[in-house]
Amino acid sequence: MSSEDYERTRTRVLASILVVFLLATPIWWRTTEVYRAPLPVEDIRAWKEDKTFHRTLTLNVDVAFYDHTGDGSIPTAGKLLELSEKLEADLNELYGTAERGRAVRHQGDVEESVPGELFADVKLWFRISGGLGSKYWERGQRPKDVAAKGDSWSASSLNGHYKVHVACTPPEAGKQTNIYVSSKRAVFVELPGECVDDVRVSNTLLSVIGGLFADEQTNYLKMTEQKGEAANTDWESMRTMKYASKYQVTFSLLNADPSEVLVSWDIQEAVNAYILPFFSQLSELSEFAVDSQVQNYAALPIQSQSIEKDGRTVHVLRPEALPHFINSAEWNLASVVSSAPPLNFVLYIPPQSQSPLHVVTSKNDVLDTNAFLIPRWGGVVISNAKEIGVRHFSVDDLHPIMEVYVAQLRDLLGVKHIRIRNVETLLPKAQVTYETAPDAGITLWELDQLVRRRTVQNIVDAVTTLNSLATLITNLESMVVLDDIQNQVLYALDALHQARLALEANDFSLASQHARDAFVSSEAAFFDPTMVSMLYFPDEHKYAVYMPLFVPISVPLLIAVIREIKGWKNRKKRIKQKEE
Amino acid sequence: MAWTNLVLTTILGLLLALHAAAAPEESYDEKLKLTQFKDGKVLAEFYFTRFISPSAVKKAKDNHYTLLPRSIGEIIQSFGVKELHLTFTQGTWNHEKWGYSPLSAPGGVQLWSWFETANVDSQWKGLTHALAGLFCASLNFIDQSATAEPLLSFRTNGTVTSASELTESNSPQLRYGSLPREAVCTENLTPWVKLLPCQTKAGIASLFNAYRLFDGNFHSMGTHLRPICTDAMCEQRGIEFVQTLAVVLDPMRLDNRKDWSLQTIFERKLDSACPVAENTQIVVTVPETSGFTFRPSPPDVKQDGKGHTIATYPIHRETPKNMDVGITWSNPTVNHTIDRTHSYIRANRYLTGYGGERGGLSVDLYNYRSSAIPVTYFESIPWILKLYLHTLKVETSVNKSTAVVGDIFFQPAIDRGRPSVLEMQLTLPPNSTTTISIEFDKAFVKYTEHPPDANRGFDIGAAVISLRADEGEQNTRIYTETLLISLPTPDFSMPYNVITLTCTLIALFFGSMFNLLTRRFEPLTIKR
Amino acid sequence: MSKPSSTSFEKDSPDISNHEDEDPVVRIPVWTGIALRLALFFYTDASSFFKHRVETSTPVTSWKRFQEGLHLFQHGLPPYDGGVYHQAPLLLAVFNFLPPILIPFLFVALDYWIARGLVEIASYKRKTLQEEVWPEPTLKPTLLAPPPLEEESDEEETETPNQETAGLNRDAHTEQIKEAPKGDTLIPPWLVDDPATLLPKKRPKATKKTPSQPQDVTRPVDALLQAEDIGSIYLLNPFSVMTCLAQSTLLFTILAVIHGLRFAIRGNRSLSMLCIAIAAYLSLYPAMMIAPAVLILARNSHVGISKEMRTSLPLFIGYAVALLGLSYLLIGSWQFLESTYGVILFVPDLTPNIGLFWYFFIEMFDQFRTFFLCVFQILVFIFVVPVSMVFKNHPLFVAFLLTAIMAIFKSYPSLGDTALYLTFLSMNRELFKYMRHSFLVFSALFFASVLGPLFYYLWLYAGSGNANFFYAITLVFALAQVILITDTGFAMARREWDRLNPDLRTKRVELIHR
Repeated sequence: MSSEDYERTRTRVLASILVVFLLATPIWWRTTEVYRAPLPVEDIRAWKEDKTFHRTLTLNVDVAFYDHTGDGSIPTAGKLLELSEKLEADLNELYGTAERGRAVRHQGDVEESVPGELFADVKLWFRISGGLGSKYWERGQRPKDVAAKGDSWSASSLNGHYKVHVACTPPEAGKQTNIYVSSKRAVFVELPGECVDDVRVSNTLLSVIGGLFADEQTNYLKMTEQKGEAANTDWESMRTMKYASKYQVTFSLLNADPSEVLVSWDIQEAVNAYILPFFSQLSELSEFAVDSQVQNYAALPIQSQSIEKDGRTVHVLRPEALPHFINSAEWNLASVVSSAPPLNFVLYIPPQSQSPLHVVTSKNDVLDTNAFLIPRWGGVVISNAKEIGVRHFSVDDLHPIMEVYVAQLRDLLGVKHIRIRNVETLLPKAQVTYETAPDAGITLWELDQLVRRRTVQNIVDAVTTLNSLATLITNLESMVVLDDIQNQVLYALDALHQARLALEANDFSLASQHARDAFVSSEAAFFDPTMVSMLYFPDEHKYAVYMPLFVPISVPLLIAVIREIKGWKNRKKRIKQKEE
Repeated sequence: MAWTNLVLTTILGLLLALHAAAAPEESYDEKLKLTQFKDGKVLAEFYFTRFISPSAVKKAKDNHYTLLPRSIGEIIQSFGVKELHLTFTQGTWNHEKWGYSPLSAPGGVQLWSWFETANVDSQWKGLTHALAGLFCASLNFIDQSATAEPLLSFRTNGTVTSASELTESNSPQLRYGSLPREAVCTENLTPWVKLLPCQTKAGIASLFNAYRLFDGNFHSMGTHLRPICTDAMCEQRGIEFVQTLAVVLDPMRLDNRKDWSLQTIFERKLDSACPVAENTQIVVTVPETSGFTFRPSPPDVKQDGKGHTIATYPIHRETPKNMDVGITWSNPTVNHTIDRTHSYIRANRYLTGYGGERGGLSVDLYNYRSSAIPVTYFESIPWILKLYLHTLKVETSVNKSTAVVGDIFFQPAIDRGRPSVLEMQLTLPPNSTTTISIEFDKAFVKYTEHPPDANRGFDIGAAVISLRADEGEQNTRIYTETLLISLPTPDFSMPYNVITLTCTLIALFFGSMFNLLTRRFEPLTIKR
Repeated sequence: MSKPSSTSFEKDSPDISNHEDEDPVVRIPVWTGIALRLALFFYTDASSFFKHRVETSTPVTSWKRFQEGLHLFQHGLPPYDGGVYHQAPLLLAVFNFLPPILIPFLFVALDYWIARGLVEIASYKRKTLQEEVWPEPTLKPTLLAPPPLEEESDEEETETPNQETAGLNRDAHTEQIKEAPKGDTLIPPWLVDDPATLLPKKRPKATKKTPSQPQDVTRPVDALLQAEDIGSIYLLNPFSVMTCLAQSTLLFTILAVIHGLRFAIRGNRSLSMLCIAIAAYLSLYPAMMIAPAVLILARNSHVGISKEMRTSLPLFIGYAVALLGLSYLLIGSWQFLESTYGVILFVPDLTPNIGLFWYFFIEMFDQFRTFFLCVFQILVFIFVVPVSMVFKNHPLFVAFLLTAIMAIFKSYPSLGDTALYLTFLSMNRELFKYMRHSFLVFSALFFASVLGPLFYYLWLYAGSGNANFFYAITLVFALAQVILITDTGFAMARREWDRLNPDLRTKRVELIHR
């Protein structure tokens, strides 16, 4: 064949082979790449350095004045204005001293907030109305009854909206300022003497309102300064569990020696009666899986000491001994299936050899609850067997024990008592009463505070987790990132965004849900098992696998291509020469 | 496995329901059966039986447990388990000498369970993992490629479901898996003991002495859970949860005497009954009618028809401490004769052929009875053996005329996917030997798929022969030996060498072919 | 050198050589082959022996596995729901009603029909060889220059140019001495000591029969091919005998391939495409045999290759789809695709064979497995287009190259494939004298096929050797075949050069390959 069509065939051959190679390259890519779903790293970083997210939790406090003097001398609108201005000034001062200043501006009845620089701290936004709703608190009614009566407002009140009722009563001898904190987001203040003395009024209001939210604010400041677990330093949060969206709560009846006494309990009824209401209150934060079991021959892993007490030997557990408590493997309290963090509550029946067994304070006086709490683990209640034989805990027998458990649960879950901070000093003569928690075991005040704190906490944690995940993935090139991890991260980011919007709209319960979702899915992404099993094959090994085939194959190919190009140039030259 | 004391249990349950005891709706019994074998060995069978009444089951559904261990309860709840049978076994049960026991089990771990739930496979996976964690065993290696779904064997013991709640979605399904290679030891015993109400602090469990238990010729501990109907319509269903431990000990080997007692075989004595148990008893069975004395002398002794003497010791709270049950023989002669009336069916499985390429699997089934016996044969073989169904042969020694084989169910294996399952319903002719044989090819597997000790080989689980219910001994199962198959192994040090050599060859081919196609001859003489 | 060819020479005797258009079946070697097969089938248990040999029966062609599939199929079990049966569904239909006693006869018949097809192809090859145009040299060759002495010593294995030129002038002057007395025809006598030459008594006939052959000194006279010999070569090839005895279903594929070409030669496009489609349907790789078939069709119908392609490719696809549809109707599910072609492509069953895949993928790291699978499979197909472009004037040579590449680089090769391409090779006898490594190649092939079973035994039965033994042998086997392919390719190229450069044939020219 002539050299021209020979050249043509050669070009074609080369082309066909090259085409195959080109088609094969995507296969090579697909089959050997480490699959990494792209993550929005920038967005994640943005959340960390985000200044714009520094929001203030805005709480609304309505102040309502009631005239119980009977002479209809309620403060006039003008007075109210002065009053509110004074109050505003004072609050500014109070909080200003607490932290860098933020303003609570006041325009007539409508207020809007000025965002401060700091992440999440409390900012009050209050409206003062005089005489309105004076029907609500009739003269001579005791605050307790009024609170118990309830009204449309307190029925429909939301997290973050509070009401201060101020009643101006006629001055009586020896009648003190009476402050009653109801469990339903309302405070009742009885001021003996007319409310004309606005200094006294504003001082009272200042100390009440300021005191109610002071703790929360300081708490947030701690929390946001060290992003992460809130203030690991203070004893409060050392005992509280790390937040989880689900807890496994186990009630165990541990019988030291069944040969002496056989025990049984109506735990299900008791739990339904005393524990579940509490959990249902907290349901918007976490869900709780409850189970119970009975264990025999389960000994307490703490050595008790026997001491002489009014004539008879009793066995005591000293506070310094309690920290040595460890979760005994003998009790097999661990769950086989659920991975939720466990909360253990133990009812312990000591053996005759050790009873009566008491938990004592450092000063050797017996605690009447006879119980102790183990930080981040659970609680133990000791119940000494009265007689040998069969012992059955009825629901009534269990009632006090359940009370103890609820109290311990409050501590473990970080429910804080609502208190007006240093009211004693500010209002020395005032007499303050807090409405006891209802059967649920938690007041709305406490619940609101908990929800707000958890919301902020979860947002901070989610952001931290996402960031560490991003760092991990960006550092480990050969780590597999599957699609579902990507989805989790995206979902978490979206939830964070939602939470932020909800916070801006002051919808705390919605915000808490979104914050919870963000937390859960960020954790899920971070602890995904596929992240652990990362396909790692070092590069030098890759070369060792590829080279034997591809170096010898590619060499002749390249040479041929080069020659082809050369030949093509020559041909062009020849053509040129022909033309000349 | 039909425990004779099941009836006892239910009766006790009813009694307890009458006089309100500590736990009126749950009952717990302990029973120790000591059986003397003719060859001097002693079989000790521990039964820890719990009966959970329907009302208690309802409570358990709300995760409130009293007698039922919480871990077991959780497993039932979260995996929709209706019935569960798990055995850890060491050694092989000698059917010929020891007869049949409900506690005989194949070597290693055997797990089979009935489910009443959707997506059974994921539940089964979860179950194996949970049990692995609970018993510190490598049960999680029972994956899809080792799981069988028997159609004829392992019928349910309890009543899995009542007609009323039987729907398409949750019709009961069975899964079977075994780990013939698992070595059973104390780390499995400890968590198992923890499930007992009195652990080892009291009751017959206080006899547990790991040194002696694992010193026996055969050791098997089981965890069995099954539903029990409490009314005729089976609308009400309780749960029976039985932990069993069987160990065959040899007093002759311990001290060359046929006499034995709890002290000599366990080095323990019985201190007290478990206070939780309503009813505790020790039953001693001797295959003789005379020539021995029980001590202490039992409150009640009776003879059964088959020349056995059975003594029963009820254990109460006021039972003297350090109670020691035993036998002293006046004629310490042992005979090793095989009593065919008690072991009338024998199975013997072995490999045929040689070489690393292919082989055959054969099972001899002996029937010593003078009557034909219907049995069900079950075999689950990992995919590394490629069975050839067309080479399956069933031959019997006597009259070929009788139809030996009934239904055959065969599921071919899928590589790395599922095992081959072979199930047959056979009718063994009287006084005959039936041989089942099938050929297989050994798979050549990737070098990563070999076990660390590749040259030891792969274990093949025991085949199961179930005597069908109509034979009287209901649910009696006979287990064959487990087999060891050695697969052809590659050179594990070769990967890079192979890559280099093969790739070089290919490159050579490509290069020369490429040259051939893109170059041409040209005479040098032309251009100068 | 190639044993079969030389044996066939004793076979054909001059008396029957002049009427060779008659049915070649009457020829003894053919019947010897048939008889040999039947004898081995019925008087020895060679059949059951070869059924189990990895060299002859692979997971995708093994008769034992086929029996298993048939057994499952006949008992109503889905044959592809399992790891054993990987062969085409329609085979089940073929054997479903066949009484077992006929099965050996069927396989012998298959081989017979393959032989028939080969014979027809060979006669076509003979025709093309005769019609081959060798342009006359413009100037008569001047035969001078006494040969360098060393040429005598090494005429077997040296570089082609030297041998060629040496041959040229040495034969030239010997001829003057030798050929003077009987001066009827001038034979370029360098062919006399060429092993592939005809015996002298056959020469005049050859010349007589081919008037197209010019009185041209410089043109090498090729051994005139006796078509029937090819059939004999196939039937007497030990490899094909083994394959037949093993009852490997590969024979169906070979038959289809051969008849694809046969019908192409007859110019029957649709039948030819049908056969190629069947072959591809049975074992996927033969799909590439479209190329030679199309080349032949184009030659016969004197149309452009691309045009021919455009008409016959749709036919092929249509037939393939129809076959798959039929199998779907037979099985009732598409499961078989994954279990037949899936197995051929992804090689899940790593049973050893004479190929390169099994040990490579036993040892390969998991994360590169898929990648190298792709590479290996692409490698089989990558040369189809280039080869058929370069050798478009020699379709049968293309067929040879492709079958050879398949036999080396398919995922489950067996000796049957080798037998097929060796037969094609024996058709291109005119190339032998241009080949340089034939001795090396054939001795390597021989030793590999002797040592292979030996080492396999050492590994799996004696346990004294390990897997590397057998792997090494398969490497040698593959290497020998690779050399064979390229050597033949170069021989073809060289011959073409000789043909197209008449003036340089007799010159002492240094030839470089660039």
